[in-house]
Amino acid sequence: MTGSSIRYVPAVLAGKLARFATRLRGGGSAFPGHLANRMAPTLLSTLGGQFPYGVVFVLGSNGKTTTTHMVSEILRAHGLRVFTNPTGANLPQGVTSALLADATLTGRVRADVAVLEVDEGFAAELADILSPRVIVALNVQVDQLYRFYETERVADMMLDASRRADVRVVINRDDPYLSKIDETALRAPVSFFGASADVVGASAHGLVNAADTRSGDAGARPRSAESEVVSVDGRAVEISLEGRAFPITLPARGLHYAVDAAAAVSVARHVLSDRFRTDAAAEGFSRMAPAYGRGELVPLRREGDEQVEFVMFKNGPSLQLNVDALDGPPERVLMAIDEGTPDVSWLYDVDLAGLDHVDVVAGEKAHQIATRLAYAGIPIGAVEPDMEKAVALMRGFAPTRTGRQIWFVNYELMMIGRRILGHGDQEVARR
Amino acid sequence: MTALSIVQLYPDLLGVTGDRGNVEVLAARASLAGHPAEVALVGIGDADPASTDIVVIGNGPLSALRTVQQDLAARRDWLAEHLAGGGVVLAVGGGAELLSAGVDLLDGTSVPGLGLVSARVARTRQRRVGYVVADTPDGRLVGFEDHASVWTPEPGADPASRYGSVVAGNGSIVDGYETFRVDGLYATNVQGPVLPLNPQLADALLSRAFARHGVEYAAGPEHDRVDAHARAARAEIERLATSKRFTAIQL
Ligand SMILES: [Zn+2]
Repeated sequence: MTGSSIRYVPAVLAGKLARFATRLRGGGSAFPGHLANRMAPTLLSTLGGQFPYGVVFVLGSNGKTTTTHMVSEILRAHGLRVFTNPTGANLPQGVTSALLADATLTGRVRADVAVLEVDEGFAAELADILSPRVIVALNVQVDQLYRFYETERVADMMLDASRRADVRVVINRDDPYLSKIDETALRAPVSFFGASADVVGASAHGLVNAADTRSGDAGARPRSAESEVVSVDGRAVEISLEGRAFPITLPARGLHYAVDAAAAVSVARHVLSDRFRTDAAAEGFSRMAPAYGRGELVPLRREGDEQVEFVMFKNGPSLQLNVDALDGPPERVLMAIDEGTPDVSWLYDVDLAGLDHVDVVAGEKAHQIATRLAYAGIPIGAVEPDMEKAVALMRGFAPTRTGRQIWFVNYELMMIGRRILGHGDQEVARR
Repeated sequence: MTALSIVQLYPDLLGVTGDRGNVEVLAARASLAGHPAEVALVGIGDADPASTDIVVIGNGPLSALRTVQQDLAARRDWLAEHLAGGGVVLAVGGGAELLSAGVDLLDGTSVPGLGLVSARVARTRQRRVGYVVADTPDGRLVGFEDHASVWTPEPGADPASRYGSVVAGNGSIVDGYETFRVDGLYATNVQGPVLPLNPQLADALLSRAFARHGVEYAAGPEHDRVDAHARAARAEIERLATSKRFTAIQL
């Protein structure tokens, strides 16, 4: 445990106090990190440098939160104490704030390893500070063009950050851009993960990774996978690691979760090296609760045991993968998007044939969703932009046979929806 | 009953902004009016389709523009004949830029265009993101803009080729205009996609496409059931366009 020192006491204390104050106000969590970083610029790299098993970065357009959760649980099942950043706190200030919350006043974090989801836009910058041992790049999907402009730029951000990994780079071999990673430019060797051709072929729309528009080869480059999904049956999945298959149970259905699991297994394998055991990995998966807003269940009403399954999406690929993972058309469905998702052009790139109706469309984009559903010939029960009223409509329906409604929501309306249901406070911890 | 033939060019490379939605809307509205529609997807190296009523070209990154540029240039005569014969072309974003006189990039180089629209495109450092509303001869054009480009008409270009006069948002043509229209060619930076949000524009394209077959296209009550949603979406966008500013979405 090197580096922690009395000289960090003022910065850590100021950060902790600021964190306490912002939490009292119910405000955002970035400010304490900002304050601490200003008072002690080397604090973050010191905090990051003291984990005996190092730091892991999880990058990708989709699946960062889920994969971070999976890696953490596998490592915990091997007896490690894991530090991880809360969902969405994936910018530098957020990572600092999260570390501060766990740090002692002298700047020590009592954990064996840090598993961090990191925003693509800041991955290289943060890697220079935190020196990650393992970096995993999950996928490049058409996402937030208003922010990143061009998808290949996102790919380059991930590939650039990957050069900074010390021990291992873990890459999706089924991703057109990522599979073309230049291994000679890296410090660490590359391990590839993926899904077998049979498994991908059985999915209605495959993996929906972005086509490579620049190299003249739109698809992925053939690579052999160290960790591969070889069968998927609902939540029961088989992963083949270095040629030996073992079963796991996913926290939620979906090919994308299975692929995230293959990535997580490979990451854990390289964090733990010889200590990695497949039975402990499987135990880690079995302990996992669904991550926040990814197949998570929340009671619909104060009375009765009907539940809402929240399915969060932020772009076309994530909505498509979630629709493809449905176990038949859902009985009761809400679909809601607000201005947190500025451009919804991608709604027309999603094949919604897995839905036979939508009961309520909601959010500021409700009429845009309704227009899209109308063109797809999918019947709509009600259009209600106001989320409170939409929730009241969903609560007013007769109970479902399955005891479950499915709510497809963007991030902002997931938060609002949970709050209206009386479960808005469980945000912070990932466990 | 006249079958409408729609061609989407380079759907894999130019299709990042729901561009197939524009194709779907044209096909759906034709069929609601009692005319079947056929959609052909045409990629690099594929032959020019024999009969075509409407060509749709979607949006994509600069690398995709570079990748398709030569193939598209080889189709210039086909496109020009298509337009001269009363055909329709709808091009969005990057795909529209390839129909200009050329695209001048920030590094001083440029991507040649087909010159079907008498304007040059300059890529800009400032990105223009947010809702956009423009008045056009066919009614209000509404949608979402997300581009880093300005179109400037070439000397001698017909001023009337500027289709929309911007009411809210930025628009992509200098002096406050959005979308070029030259005969049956529409080059726009309006996304959403543009046609579901703008039934009046979809119907203008369809009327022209059917007119060459001597068929009068008209939207009916079936269309109105869908358009009721579009009207509400348009009203919401017009409201937000004047109140909400996206000017600086930063990393
Ligand atoms: Zn509506």
